[in-house]
Amino acid sequence: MTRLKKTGLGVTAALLMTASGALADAAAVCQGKTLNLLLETVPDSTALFEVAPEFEALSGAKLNMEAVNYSLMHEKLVPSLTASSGSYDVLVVDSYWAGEFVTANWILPLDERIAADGVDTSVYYPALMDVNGKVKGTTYMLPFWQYAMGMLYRKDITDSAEFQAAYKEKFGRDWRLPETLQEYAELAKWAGEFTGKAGVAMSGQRADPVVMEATNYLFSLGGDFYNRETWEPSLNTPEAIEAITIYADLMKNAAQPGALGANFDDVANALKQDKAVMAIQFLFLMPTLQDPKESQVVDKMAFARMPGQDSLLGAWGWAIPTNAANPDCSWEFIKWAESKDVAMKRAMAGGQPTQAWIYEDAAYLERWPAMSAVGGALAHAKGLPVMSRATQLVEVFAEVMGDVLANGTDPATAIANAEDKLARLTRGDPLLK
Amino acid sequence: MTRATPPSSRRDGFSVGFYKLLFMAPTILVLALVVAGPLLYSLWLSLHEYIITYGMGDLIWFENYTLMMSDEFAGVSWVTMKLTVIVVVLEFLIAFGLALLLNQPWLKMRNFYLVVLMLPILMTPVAVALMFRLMFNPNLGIINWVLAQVGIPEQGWFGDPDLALATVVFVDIWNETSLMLIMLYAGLKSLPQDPVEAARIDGASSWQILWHVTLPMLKPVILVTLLIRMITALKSYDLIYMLTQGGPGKVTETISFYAYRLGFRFLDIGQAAAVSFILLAAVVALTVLLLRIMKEN
Repeated sequence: MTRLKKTGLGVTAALLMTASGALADAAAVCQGKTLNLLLETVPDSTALFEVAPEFEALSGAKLNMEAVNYSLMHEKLVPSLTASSGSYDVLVVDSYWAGEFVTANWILPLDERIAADGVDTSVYYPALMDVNGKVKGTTYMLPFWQYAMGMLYRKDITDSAEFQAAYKEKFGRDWRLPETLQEYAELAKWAGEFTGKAGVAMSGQRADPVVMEATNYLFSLGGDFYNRETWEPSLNTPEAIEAITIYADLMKNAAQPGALGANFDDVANALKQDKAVMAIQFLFLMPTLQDPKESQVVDKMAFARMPGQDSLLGAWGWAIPTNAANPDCSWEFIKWAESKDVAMKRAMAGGQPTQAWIYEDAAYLERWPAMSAVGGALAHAKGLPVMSRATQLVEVFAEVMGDVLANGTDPATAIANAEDKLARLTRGDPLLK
Repeated sequence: MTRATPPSSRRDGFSVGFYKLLFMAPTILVLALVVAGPLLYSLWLSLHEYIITYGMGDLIWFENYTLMMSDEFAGVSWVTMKLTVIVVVLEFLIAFGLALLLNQPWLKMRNFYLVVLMLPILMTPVAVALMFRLMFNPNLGIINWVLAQVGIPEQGWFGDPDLALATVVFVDIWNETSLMLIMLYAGLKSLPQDPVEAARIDGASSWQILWHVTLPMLKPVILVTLLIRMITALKSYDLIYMLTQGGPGKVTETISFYAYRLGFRFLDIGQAAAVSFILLAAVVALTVLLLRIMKEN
C-alpha cells in the first residue's frame, strides 16, 4: 500500500473517530474529572492551550495544563512518577526518556487501547514511532511533536551573487550546500570571515544543548555511542574523534561569542539578530525566526538536511503515567489531541507535526514552506539509543564535550576517560537483552 | 537574698525531670520526624545501590562514599573551595568597607543607603540569575554593549572557561554582600563608644583606632559572619543551576550541583545521598567551629 493511501485511511479513521463514538466515550469517562498535564513551553503546547476549552466542553473534564521550560521537566516528572499517586494524568515524554520510563514502569502500554478504539498509528512517520512510540515492540506513546534537526542557513546571503562568486573563488566550485561535515566546517569558517558575522551559531551549554548539537556531528560521520547490536561502547572510533574535533574547531573559530554557554534559545537569538550565517539546530526554531516582532531575518532563512549521513531525530510523545488517577480519561484526551482537527490547528500555529499527511496539506505548506524539507530530514535521521539510561548517556557525552571544549583535552583522551561510564550505563539494562 | 531550690519531685509522685521531658516531648517528636527521620533515611540510601530506574538495589555499605576518591569529586571540591574562599573574602572586604562608611557620623541619608544596599538580598537568587544572564548575554546583553562602546571586544562571560567562575563570583557578590553588610553594620552599631573616644583623646589616628580598637572588639561578629557566609557559600547551588549548569565543562560545578546532577540527572540516589552527606560533614564541622568561637567570645 502506498504511503498516500495509508495516509488517506489514517485521515478517514481520525475523522470518523472524532465525529462519532470517541466524543461519547470522552464524556462517559471524563465527566467531572480533572486532568493534570505537564507540557514544555513550545508552540505545540501554546496551540493546545488555545483549543483546550473544546475538550473541556466535549468531555466535561477540566484540564489543568502546566507548561514549563524543558530543563525543569525531567526533575518535575521523576518525583511525581515514583509516588504511588502522581501529580499528572497525561505526560509528554522526550524520546530519550522513553527507555527509562518504560523500565521503571512509569508509563502504561497503549496497544490494547489503540486496538480497542481503532486508532490508526500509521498516520505517523514510521521513524517517529520508532524513536518515540514503541519500545521493544510495545506502543507506549503517540508522537506529539517532532524535533528534527538540520542546517538552518541564511538563504539571502548564500543566494547573493557576491557570496557565490567569492565561494567559487575560495573553493573552486559553484555554490552548493555542503554535502559532508568537513565541507560544512570549511564553509562555516569561511562564511564567518566573508560576512563579518559568526559563521555558525552554536549551543555549547551543558548538557542537552551541547549534546543535541554535537550528536548531529557524530551521526553525520557515521559514528554512534554504542554498537546497537552488541551494546558495546563505540565512541572510541576515528569517526567520533573527528566529529568532536570538528565541533571543537568550529566552536573556537566560527561560533558566536559565548557559544560555549549558549543554549538553543541563544542560537535562535543570534540568528534572529542577524549575527550568524548558519546553525545545526532544531527545525522548530523556524517559526520564531519568521516572527517579525522579534526577528530581523524573516523570509531570509532556509532549512536543509544535515550534511553527511544522518542527523539526530527526537520527538515528544503522549503517554499515560502508571499512577494516573483516571487513565481512561487520559486516553480520551490523547485521542482528542491527536485528532485531525487538533493536530492541524497545532501545526498551523507553528507546531511540529508528527502525522505525515499534514506535510502534504497545501494550506499548511503555504503557511510554513520550510517544513516541506522535513520528510528529507526524517529520512536521514536516527534517535539516541532507546535504553533505560539514555538520560544519563546525555550527561556522559556532555562531560566528554565539556572536557574537550572547556579543558582543552584532546577528543581521544576525553572519550577514553568516559569509556567506563558508557559501559556501565548499559550494564544490566533489561531493554538491551 | 537566696533563691529557693525547686523541689526535685512533686506531690503527685512524678519528678520535675519527668514533666520537663513530657512537655518537651512534642517538640522532640516533631524534630525527630522532620529532621532526624529524613537524615537517617538518606544515610540508609547512601549505603545502598539505588538507581531510581532500576529500583532499590543491594546494601553496599560505604561503596558510594568511595566516590570521594575520584578525580571528578576532587574537581568539584576544588571548584567549591575556590568559589567559597573568593566570595567570602571579597564579600567581606566590600561589606566591611560599606559598613564602616555607613557607620560614619557625618553620613546623611543613612537609612536610604541601607535600604538600597539591602535590596539584593531581598531578591531570590533565581530572579537575580535571570537578570544577570540577560545582562551578560554575549549577543544581546548590556554589558558587552557598554564594553563595545569603549572598544573592548565581546566577551563570552558564562560561556568562557576563563571568565565563567569570575562572572559567577561577580553575581554572587552582588546578591550576597548585603547579608554580611547587615551583620557587620549591626556589630559596629553595638560596639561601645568609650574605648574609641579614649583612643581618640590619646591621639590615635583613624587607622589606628580601626586596627587596634574597632577590629578587636568586632572580632566575634566578624568570625560569626565569615563562618555563616562560608557555610552558605559551601552549599552554592541556585546561582550555579541558573547561570551555568556547572559549565562550561565543569569549571563552575560545585559539590551541591554535583549532588543534584547525580540525583536528578543520573537518578543515582545512593551516590547523590553519599555526596550530600560528605557536604553535610563539612558544614557540620564548620558549624561546630562556629559554636565554639561563639562560646569562647
